[in-house]
Amino acid sequence: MSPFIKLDNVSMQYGNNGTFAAALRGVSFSIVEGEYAAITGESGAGKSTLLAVLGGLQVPTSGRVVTAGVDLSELSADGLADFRKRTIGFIFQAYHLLPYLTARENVMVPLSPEKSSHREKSDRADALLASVGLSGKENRLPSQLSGGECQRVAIARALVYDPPVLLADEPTGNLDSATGEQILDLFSELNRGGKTVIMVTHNRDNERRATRAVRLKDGGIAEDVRLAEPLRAS
Amino acid sequence: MNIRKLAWKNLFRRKSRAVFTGLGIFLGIGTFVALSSLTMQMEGAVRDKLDRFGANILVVPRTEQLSLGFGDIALGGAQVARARLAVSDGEAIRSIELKDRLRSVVPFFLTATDASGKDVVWMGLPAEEIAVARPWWKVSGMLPIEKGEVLLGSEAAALLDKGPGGTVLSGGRKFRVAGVLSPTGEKEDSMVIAPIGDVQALAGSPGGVTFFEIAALCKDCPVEDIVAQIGKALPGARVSAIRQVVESRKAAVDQFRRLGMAVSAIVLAIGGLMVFVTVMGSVQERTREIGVLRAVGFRRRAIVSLLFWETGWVSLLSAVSGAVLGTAAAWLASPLFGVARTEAAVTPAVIGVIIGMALGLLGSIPPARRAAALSPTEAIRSL
Repeated sequence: MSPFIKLDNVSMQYGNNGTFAAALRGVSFSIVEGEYAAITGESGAGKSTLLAVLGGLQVPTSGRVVTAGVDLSELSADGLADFRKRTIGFIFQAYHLLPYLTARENVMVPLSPEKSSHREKSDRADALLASVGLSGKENRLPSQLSGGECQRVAIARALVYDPPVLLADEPTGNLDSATGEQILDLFSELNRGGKTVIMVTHNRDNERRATRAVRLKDGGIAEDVRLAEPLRAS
Repeated sequence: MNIRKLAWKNLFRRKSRAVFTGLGIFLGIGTFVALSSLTMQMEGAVRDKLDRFGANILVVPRTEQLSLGFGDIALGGAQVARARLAVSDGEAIRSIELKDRLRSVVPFFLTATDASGKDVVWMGLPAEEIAVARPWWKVSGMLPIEKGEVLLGSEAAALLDKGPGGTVLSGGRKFRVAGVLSPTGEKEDSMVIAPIGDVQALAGSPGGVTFFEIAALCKDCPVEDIVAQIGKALPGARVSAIRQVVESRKAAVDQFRRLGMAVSAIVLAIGGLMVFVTVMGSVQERTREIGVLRAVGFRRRAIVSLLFWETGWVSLLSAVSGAVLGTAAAWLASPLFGVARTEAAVTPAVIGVIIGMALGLLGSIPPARRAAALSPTEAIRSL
């Protein structure tokens, strides 16, 4: 089974003026297509940094990240932007919706630079909102939606280019447990539909939805556990 | 949803910031347009006033200087006219190619002769042209409007001991004193001023002209061309521009323009700085939002485009409203500057809008570059 994402001895250091702190220390692992990986660990273990490196938001200090055969270290800033647009869907803990835009418009935001017609973009957004259970709420502002609904809008936004990989950073962190379960159900459904899901979480309970658990400690992999076979492997 | 609409929606989200960003451009363009419009109107008014103030071209007979002497004894010299001027030469002057630029062509005739037993200089000019040729004269009584009437200079009136309603005798004729000229500090204070026909008759030189005074309209001031054309029309005459007057006209107009440009430049610079500061502040404030946009695939150019559209909308609205305000202010304030209200000038408003747009976009270049250079990890780090 060939890896879809491959990290090879990736290290990441922050700091300046001669003072450095290592967020990742020689991390190596692979993720196959269709996998649902949960990355867990305590605060400061390097979870969010690993997610940023996986998503091409950050270039590691050393090591290589190869996704879908593309070495991210060889891409320019705009090349990375194109890579993120086509390959990665980001979901953040705080949703990061634009508060002055409706749910439909928020989903359409990544399409803004595209030349396609407003109707095409709007239809695409409505279809995605329907797929995450938000039909009829397309014209609501984030302030008129619940936390769970906002996270669904954020998921719809992440899916707008139909990327093969979803990266979620504590997607249930701002939600109550019942709503969090609904969001996790949605991720499971997307994974069943073929998406590779990588979710950062500090909640060990969330691991049970995943097919694999990667546990970080002090910037390194402390444990890498296969929980189930990936639902769709290439 | 596109970048343009995204920018427009963001403006409405941050209304007070948008207003503050636009305020600099609004005030800058308002000031620029008001001063430019006012300057344009004042330029016209100054030209008009200066044109009315006096002549700027003098036409005299061409003369030759003859030196007189005998042996080692120098007896000075004499100027001998090669040709005389006549009233009919006025028609030749009015027929030049640039005749439209001539506001008035006034013939003068000077002669020294007796007035009630005293030798004085008589100056003749067409009665109907006196007010045009000497608009600054203040007269006690009336200006001479008919044959047989004279205007006495202040010193001449004292010499002859005459006032309005009195009579002056000369060449066997009786002239009625229509008025007395208030002191001007010029040579006419000691002269008797009369209709040109009467003075020509006294001198026995009907149709004769000592010199022509020509007032040229000074828009763009092609005085050299006018002088050349008159010289060609009257080969026996010496035509000279009174350069000092012309230069003073230009200098006065230029001073107004320079003052207006200097004030406008200062206000516009402040406006540009306000745009720079507020857009830079906006970028700082929106670090997370820009990071999210970068995370979802916005290229750097798309971020720059977004900020340019935002500033472009603000600049356009501010510049247009500033131009409208400036034009209205100039129109309302023009009487305070001694300028008659005319049609509102469109050119400064159009230039103002273009400058406003350029200023806004230039002011937003550094913040836009900074925003484009922001790392998308800022969004992640802020979690």
